[in-house]
Amino acid sequence: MMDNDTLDMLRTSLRHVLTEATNVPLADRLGELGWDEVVADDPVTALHTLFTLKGDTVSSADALGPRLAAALADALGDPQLTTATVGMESPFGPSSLTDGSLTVDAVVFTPPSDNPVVVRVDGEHLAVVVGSALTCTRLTTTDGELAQFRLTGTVPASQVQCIEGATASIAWSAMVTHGRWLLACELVGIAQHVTDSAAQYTGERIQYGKPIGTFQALQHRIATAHVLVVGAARLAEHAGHSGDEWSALVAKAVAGQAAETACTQAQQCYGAIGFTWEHEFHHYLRRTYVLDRLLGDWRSLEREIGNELMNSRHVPKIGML
Amino acid sequence: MTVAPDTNPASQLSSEMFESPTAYAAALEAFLSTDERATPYLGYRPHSLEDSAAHLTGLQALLFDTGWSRLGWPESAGGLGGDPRFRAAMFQTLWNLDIPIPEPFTTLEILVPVLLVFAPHLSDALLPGLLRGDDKWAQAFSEPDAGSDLASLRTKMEPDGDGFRLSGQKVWSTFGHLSQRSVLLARSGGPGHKGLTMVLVDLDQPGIEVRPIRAEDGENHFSEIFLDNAWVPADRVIGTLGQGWAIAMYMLQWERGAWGWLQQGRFHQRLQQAVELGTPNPEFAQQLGHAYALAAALRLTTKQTVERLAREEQLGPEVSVDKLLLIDAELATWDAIRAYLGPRFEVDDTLQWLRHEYLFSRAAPIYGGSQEIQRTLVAQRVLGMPRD
Amino acid sequence: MDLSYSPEAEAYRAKVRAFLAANLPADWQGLGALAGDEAEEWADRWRDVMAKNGFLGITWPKEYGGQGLTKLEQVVLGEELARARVPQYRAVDTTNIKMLGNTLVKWGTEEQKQKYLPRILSGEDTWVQGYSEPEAGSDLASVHLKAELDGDEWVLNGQKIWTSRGMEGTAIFLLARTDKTAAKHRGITFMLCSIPTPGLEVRPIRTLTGVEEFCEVFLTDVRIPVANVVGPVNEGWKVANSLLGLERGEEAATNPIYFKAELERVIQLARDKGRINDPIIRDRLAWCHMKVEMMRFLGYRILTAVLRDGALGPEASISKLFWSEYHQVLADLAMELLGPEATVREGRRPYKHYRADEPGAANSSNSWIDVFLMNARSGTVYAGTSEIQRNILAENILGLPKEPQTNS
Ligand SMILES: Cc1cc2nc3c(=O)[nH]c(=O)nc-3n(C[C@H](O)[C@H](O)[C@H](O)COP(=O)(O)OP(=O)(O)OC[C@H]3O[C@@H](n4cnc5c(N)ncnc54)[C@H](O)[C@@H]3O)c2cc1C
Ligand SMILES: Cc1cc2nc3c(=O)[nH]c(=O)nc-3n(C[C@H](O)[C@H](O)[C@H](O)COP(=O)(O)OP(=O)(O)OC[C@H]3O[C@@H](n4cnc5c(N)ncnc54)[C@H](O)[C@@H]3O)c2cc1C
Repeated sequence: MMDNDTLDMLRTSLRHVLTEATNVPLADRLGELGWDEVVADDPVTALHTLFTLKGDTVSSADALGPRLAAALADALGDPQLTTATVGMESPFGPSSLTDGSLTVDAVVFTPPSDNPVVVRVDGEHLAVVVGSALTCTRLTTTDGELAQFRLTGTVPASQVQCIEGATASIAWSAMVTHGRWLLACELVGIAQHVTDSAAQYTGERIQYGKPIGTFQALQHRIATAHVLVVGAARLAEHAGHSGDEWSALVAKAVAGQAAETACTQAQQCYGAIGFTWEHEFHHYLRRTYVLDRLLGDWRSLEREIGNELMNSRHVPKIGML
Repeated sequence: MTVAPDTNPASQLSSEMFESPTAYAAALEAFLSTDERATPYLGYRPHSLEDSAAHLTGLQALLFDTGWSRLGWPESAGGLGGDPRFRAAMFQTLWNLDIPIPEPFTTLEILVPVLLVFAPHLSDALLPGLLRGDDKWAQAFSEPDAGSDLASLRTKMEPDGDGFRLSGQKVWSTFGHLSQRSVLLARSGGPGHKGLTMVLVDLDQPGIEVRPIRAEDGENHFSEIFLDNAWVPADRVIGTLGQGWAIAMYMLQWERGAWGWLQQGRFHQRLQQAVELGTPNPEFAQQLGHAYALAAALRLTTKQTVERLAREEQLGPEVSVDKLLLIDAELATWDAIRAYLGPRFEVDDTLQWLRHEYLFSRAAPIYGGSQEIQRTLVAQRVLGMPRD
Repeated sequence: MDLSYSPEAEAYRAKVRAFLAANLPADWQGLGALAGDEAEEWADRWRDVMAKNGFLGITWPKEYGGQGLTKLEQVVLGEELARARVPQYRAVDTTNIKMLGNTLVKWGTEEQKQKYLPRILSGEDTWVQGYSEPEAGSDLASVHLKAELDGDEWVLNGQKIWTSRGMEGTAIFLLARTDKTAAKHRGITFMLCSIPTPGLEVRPIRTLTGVEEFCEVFLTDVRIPVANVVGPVNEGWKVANSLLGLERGEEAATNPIYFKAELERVIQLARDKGRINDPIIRDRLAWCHMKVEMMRFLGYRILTAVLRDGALGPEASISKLFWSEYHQVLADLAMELLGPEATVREGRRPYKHYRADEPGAANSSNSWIDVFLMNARSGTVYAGTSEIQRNILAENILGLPKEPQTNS
């Protein structure tokens, strides 16, 4: 376990890495920090810290992609996949596998080169192809800064490695769980930043001769957001330590909602400036929107939770004393 | 952790249970689900509040005599030592087995820590009886003209010989008409916070009249208390004269923190009951999922608070977050249950108790400091937003 | 509430319909069906057709190019245009015709009316609104733009901000501080200033969605003739506020029509996405439908009050809150229905940044992303924030005591 001083130092250097203006990939910059060792030593604290800070700084670096690959490689016991690029659900349609060939349609955060690309065909099938066999186009996204690419192409079956059945579905859901936890951390980082900045702004902005933060309408907006953010933060922490599927599901559901609530409340407090690039807020709003939609938006995750409760007739408890 | 040797022959506790709340909870669960003395409480559905109070007094005595409810309280309170996590674990276990928590336990959570710190001279004599349920206490703070603005309360406290005389009116005292004593906040000095003193007053005396008030669900949940020259001896002052406000604030960390943990257990239990009773229907998936997610957030947030209390950390204004999450979770839980069970919830005779709990859930944004007051506290004291 | 229109109004309706039938393409889908630039061009051309046929500024007196008709006809025109899925005018005409034109009709001098109103209708002049300042948003009455009299000219120094479509403006109407010693509402004057003018600089501001929709306007020793003051000096606050009544009646009638068309698009989206049988989606669509219907009836009440009493009833202060908060829920729902598509921008972007996207718009992600990020979310900020509306509602309509904090 990391002690507090080490953690503080880690935070400082990660903040630097996340905010410096450079084209060097995040993985390389982290490498200079000895990141792999830090992760090996205390993965939960290290990753929790990285992703929360990534949210806090709205960094657009691709930290998630490599983690998804690592989780998948781990679940499949295939170290080669550590360098894979994992394809996420494409808005344009699914990937499909027929007798003769694999048709890919997937979204990724970093363009693959000649490394393997893993796509999900359906619940029972994952397909692995070499990245250079696919076409990669940059998407114009709602976020605008977080890069997303569409991978397409048709590859003959002979060049496709197929992972099937329970192995495929278990590995994929382990990866989803890992990804949901990290996204929950990132969303919590955003939500905390947005709430705190808005609270600060309302203390500085004067209307009617006083800081607008003295108006109860605004105090209650920000307080409402903060409450959900605290709950989300506790769930994200717990999801990291427990590593279980259910905790990650609930954590991501609450984190997405907390970030959205924080943005909505904050934006109203900012007034017109919150609709412009004159203030940093706009980055956070659009980022929230995109991250919430990765691996399930909060509303659909809430439904997933509710359906599970009704169908299993069991209400699990997260966290024991 | 100081743990008293447990010499009680009826005790069910063994030394390993003192080691961890988890081991304790598992053993308690085994006891309650197998010992026939506990059977009358499993899935108990009260017919009325008075009926429930009488019935659950038996449970309180059973848990005390067998030692279970004594773990987590210091010896001076009649306990066996151990930190508040054991109490929290007991509450969770009771809910798991669908055993209603006796109301006095919730009062205890709030009043006992205060007495231990500010009136240790009263604890030896009075707290064991309170813990066992022989004695019941109420909390008399609110007045008709002093609710949220508690510091404006007017009940007068004047010296008289070796004690004080109290005159005025209190209202909304939970279980007031079923209690023998009450912790009461009165004005012993000038206006504002500094003039307030906290006392423990006997309710069965000539200068006091207690009248029950019927709540929305038809039950006498609370009372008004009329004081006309009522007597309180000097040694019943909690803390010192003029310290009343500071003590009330100290109390709130328990009221908002520990209380939240106790309630999340109930929400999980009631959701469990709802999914057992209901027919799966995707229409209610999101509402149930939302309620559950909030209950889970409340659980982890108050878990941390209980752990902090166990480490004897002083909690600050951040405990208002626990209370606000509680409000959201409570309202969402009952809305979801009501929606999911549909017409049955409204008319099924066997669900009368559930309807009562539903109605009572609507009080969540009011009691223990209203939602508005908590939000203002969070905004100003936690987030540093400006005060006017 | 009277739901029937006068025979005169019905006759006018027939006239509008005939005009539309003669001038709209047979397969007209709505402005939303045209791509961005095309829509701008079409709206400009259509505005000319409207102007030439006497359908702009119809309540204005004939001598200034209007038709001398009543508010009721204005409402009928609005209804018919909305139903036919055509805009009343260009987006920027909201400040141009609706705001400044109507203000001049009420407050302008004879000379001002003759000079400006015909040019507004012809499109020669395009007025944008210069009220807000960096330090004067909700508390608009605290405007600082300094105006000092020098001979027969006012000399202006200061800054305006958030001017919608400021880059399109050929002129700007301003609220300026002409008496620093008076109570804050009493020292403001309403002034007109053309663009360009020496000392006036307009700079674009990029909005959330990445487009340059707002401007800030810097004024350094800008000289304006005293003849450019609208209404009495130091009574600009009253001049600016008198607009509200003019706008709300018409809006009350047309808003529900646009929102209804928008809701139909969302229902279609639910169908396209195979979510139409999803019970939760159905609940939410039904909720939206109820709100739009309530908006319609609220609109009738507002209209009835305006037409009967010439003044706004209490419903008017509800209507702003009502549509703006409704619209955010609707936009959320649309984005949810889009699913993962909502993260990738595809298709045309909305023509304007207020209210609903134009009828006929395809259910493309770009249409909804912008409606969600900009149109819907900003609805609770511009034209009086929700907080300010609630204060007004509580204090002026419900008679709740004044919030101690806002007394300054
Ligand atoms: C179920 C229940 C059990 C209770 N048990 C006890 C008990 O055992 N002992 C006891 O002493 N009391 C008890 N109370 C009383 C409780 O503490 C008070 O109800 C509470 O403090 C609020 O006071 P009030 O009811 O007078 O409401 P008020 O203070 O009159 O408040 C009315 C409304 O005004 C709002 N308001 C007040 N001030 C502000 C402000 N500054 N800013 C914004 N909004 C404000 C409140 O939030 C509330 O919505 C109980 C109440 C309930 C509902
Ligand atoms: C899309 C859009 C278009 C616009 N177009 C124009 C234009 O063309 N010309 C122009 O002049 N202006 C325009 N504006 C500006 C608009 O009028 C202002 O945004 C509005 O008046 C609010 O002012 P503000 O943005 O400075 O927010 P602020 O006044 O700083 O408000 C910030 C927050 O404080 C709250 N607040 C302020 N006072 C109180 C109070 N007393 N009680 C409770 N809460 C309070 C507000 O409700 C808000 O939530 C536009 C704005 C938008 C968003």
